[in-house]
Amino acid sequence: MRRMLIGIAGLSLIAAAPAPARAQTLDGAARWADSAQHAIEAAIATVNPDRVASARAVAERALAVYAEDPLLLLYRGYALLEEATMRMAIRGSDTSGVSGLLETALDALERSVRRRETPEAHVLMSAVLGIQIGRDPSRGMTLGPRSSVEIDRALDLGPENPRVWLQRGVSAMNTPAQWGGGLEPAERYLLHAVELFEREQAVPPNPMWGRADAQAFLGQVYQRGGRGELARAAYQRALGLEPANPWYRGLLASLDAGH
Amino acid sequence: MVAVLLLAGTARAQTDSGSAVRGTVHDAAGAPVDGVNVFLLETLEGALTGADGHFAFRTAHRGPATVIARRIGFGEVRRTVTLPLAAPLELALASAAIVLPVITAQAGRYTGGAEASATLSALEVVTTPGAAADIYRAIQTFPGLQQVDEGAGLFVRGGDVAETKILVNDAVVLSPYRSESPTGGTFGAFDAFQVEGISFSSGGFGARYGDALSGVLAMQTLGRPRARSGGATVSLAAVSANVALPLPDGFGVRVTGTRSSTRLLFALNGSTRDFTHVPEGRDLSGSATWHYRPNGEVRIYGLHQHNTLGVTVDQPSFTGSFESDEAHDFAVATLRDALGPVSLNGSFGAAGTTRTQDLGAFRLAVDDRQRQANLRLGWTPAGRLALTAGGEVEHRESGFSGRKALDPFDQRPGAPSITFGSTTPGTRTAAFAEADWQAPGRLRLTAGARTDHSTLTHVSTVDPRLAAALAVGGFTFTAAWGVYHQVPSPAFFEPTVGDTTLGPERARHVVLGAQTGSPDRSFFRIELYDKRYRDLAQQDRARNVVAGGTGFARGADLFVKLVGNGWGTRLAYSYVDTRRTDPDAGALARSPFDVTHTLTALAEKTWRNRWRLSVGAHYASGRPFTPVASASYDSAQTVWVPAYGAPMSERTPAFARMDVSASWLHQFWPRSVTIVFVSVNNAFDRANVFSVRYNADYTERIPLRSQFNRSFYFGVSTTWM
Repeated sequence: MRRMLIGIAGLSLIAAAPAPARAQTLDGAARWADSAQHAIEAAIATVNPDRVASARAVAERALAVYAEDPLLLLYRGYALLEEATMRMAIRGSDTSGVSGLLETALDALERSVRRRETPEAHVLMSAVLGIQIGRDPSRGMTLGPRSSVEIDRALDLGPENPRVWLQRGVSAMNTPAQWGGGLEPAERYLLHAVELFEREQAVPPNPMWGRADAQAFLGQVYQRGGRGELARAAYQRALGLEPANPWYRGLLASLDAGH
Repeated sequence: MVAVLLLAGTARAQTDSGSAVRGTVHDAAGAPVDGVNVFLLETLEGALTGADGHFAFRTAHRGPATVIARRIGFGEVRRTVTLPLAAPLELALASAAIVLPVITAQAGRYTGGAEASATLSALEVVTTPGAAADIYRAIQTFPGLQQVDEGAGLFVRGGDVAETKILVNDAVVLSPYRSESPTGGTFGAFDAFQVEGISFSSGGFGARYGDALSGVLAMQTLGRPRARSGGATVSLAAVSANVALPLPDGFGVRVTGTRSSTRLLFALNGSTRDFTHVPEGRDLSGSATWHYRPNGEVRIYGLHQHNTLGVTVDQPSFTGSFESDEAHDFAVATLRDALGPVSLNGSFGAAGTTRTQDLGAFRLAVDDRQRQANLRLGWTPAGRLALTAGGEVEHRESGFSGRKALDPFDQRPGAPSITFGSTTPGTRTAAFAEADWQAPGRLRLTAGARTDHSTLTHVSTVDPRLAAALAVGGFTFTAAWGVYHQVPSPAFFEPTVGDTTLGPERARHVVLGAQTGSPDRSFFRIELYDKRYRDLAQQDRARNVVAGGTGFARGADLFVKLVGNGWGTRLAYSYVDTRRTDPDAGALARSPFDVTHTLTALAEKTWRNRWRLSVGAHYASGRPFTPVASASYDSAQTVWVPAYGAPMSERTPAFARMDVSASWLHQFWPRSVTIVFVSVNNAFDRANVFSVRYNADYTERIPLRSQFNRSFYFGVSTTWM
């Protein structure tokens, strides 16, 4: 199931960084944005779309007061994307509203970018567009190039942003070689993401997700390439960062089971 | 699912002390709604509703407070309360799932899964088999449209093509077709890839839309580009290129140029017609958009189009060429903004058309100019009520000059004819108001009215309109009733050949429907309708204007859409029985658009996100026509004079056609997508007939085959960013 989740979404960026001490000095929209991010990350770690929806509500409530705050919009879009991804991936989930979730996510992220461009917003837009193309290939004609543009813009804004490289790696992993993807570029991008995460000093309320995910996706690249021991080591590093994460446990178990 | 998911990790820790805020949220049908975000505006404390619609949270806040309920797919509800609550709250959300009886197509964008509308992406328009990448032809595959000929004309529920109004960015399009003809034209005037939203209504539409007896097609052009992009398309009949540039400070521009010619198309496939000048055209369109703030936008769109055509026409009295040369200009500037519960939409449009048509004794030169402005204000004072009001002004200066034969059976050059030449100015002013109310429980009501006044008819009209939707279980039942008026074409008021005393045409619609499912999955809709016409203005065979026509159209439309396993299928069926006063006989007869059965079945399959195959099958009953019963020779004029039989007493043979199209997407270089497309129209080479003609003495009836035999079409289109 987890593999399916990744395959469809290419973005299950479960909170990885050890949560830094909450910045008690934050106030107003920033304080709410910080709270929203932590709530969303905690919910994502449960791989339960209903919990993600509940966490998203934090950002949405704050937007009632701090309308058009770029970080709140970013976290709303992030949560919507994750919720949509989980509903598509988890068998038996209600998927009737997925199109609406994705459209709303894109709308929130576009509004966020209009107020303040961030690499993360562009990365998430690229992910949303990728999923929309997957759901309706006829849209590849218009959305495909735009998805590339969003990634490129994210790189322009944050050439050393680990979440940008994480998304590049995930996209490459799920893209056929003839379309510019494949395991080799995916490994390269994810290794760079891991390196950047090591150096990153997260500053609340800015985005800080993705550290453990980078290891998990790197493990998947190794696993698909038949390099089991490297995959195991990567999964164990991910679990070292988030010992309770059920997805990472599942990945390790699937490796042990020889899947 | 989780019954009640209390807020986790909020900035303000919730306390066990204080009072409880609890209640239930339900939709219009009274069913509980889960996942609704209910919270206090003052503290942002809140909770999501569970599967049973219940919510509960605690707050230390006292006194007046605002409770907000929000969920994607529903309108927001705000309720002022006093804390602590005396009793649990009951909140009703207005669902977007209940819509008025319209079919809505969204190009270039998917609608939410809960939205009860039919959706088409731009590429689906382009790849609709047999649609030739034309928006109108793609819309013809929906129910409620009659297949009158092979053109792009939108004949809606037994109505004439002129009874459907076409708008772009809220402005009425003066010349919506290319190579215009009495049945519309060969193609629509707008490129599918330049349009991002299409809304088509086949009847029962609201008070916002006026001067249309049968249908409304409203399109929105693309907005500000998000990224620099370019594109080029080369096909058998056209070459086009486009550029989109985002500019700083919220500005952005788009430009598209197209050169079309059917020369290669006919060279490859042949034609049943003899062209003296194959259809050719050139377009240049562009837009500029400015987002001056997140909710505010100014958009300017302009189009220049030029089309020429020459085709040999055989008539009993004359064989010659019909020559047409037309140029259209269209520009519209729109302003959209929203401030809290108030929204503003305004537009100003200008358009011009020049057209010359020659055929034997007939010659027409048209110089039509139009200016229009409209303003629309929306106000949502409460979650259950939305109010809209607005007004519009449209001024036209329509110049007509030329000559027409005195006798319709004698169209030879030099035949006795009458000349005319004048400019007809006309101004239409209108105002409308509409209220959309979500009643507690399962009912939604929309009531509105509009008034129009035209200086051509010197008549003011008042059109009341009502619509209702009732949700029962998984079904939504809809109903609409309304009065519709339309000012006849300015050409009908031409003082020499027209009638300056014409009044507005009138129709009354009654529509009943039921629908279930979701358009991005399986969807089913059936609608029954009844239209009554009066005061129709029509032209007889001699192009004289005949006033006072009456008539009716009644029928049923069925639409089924199934999606699954990579397949998408849709089936549209329309039944219509329509009659109206025959302008030559002066008696009620079948309408020329009385195509009893129209059936379209489409199936699409996508493989590996790259290959796409679409197959379409079309069937339509024959079109009524008035036969010639006999003819006598007029030796003085040296021409045969036909005597006609009972009006509209015969039909052309039924129409059937199978079309196949395929496309392949490929990325030849990064940040680009290329699509190669090929189609086969009329795959079985069926000899469809849309009308008949006669030999010189009317002793032989000759069916006029459709323009295309089996025909192949292909091209390649690349977009890069």
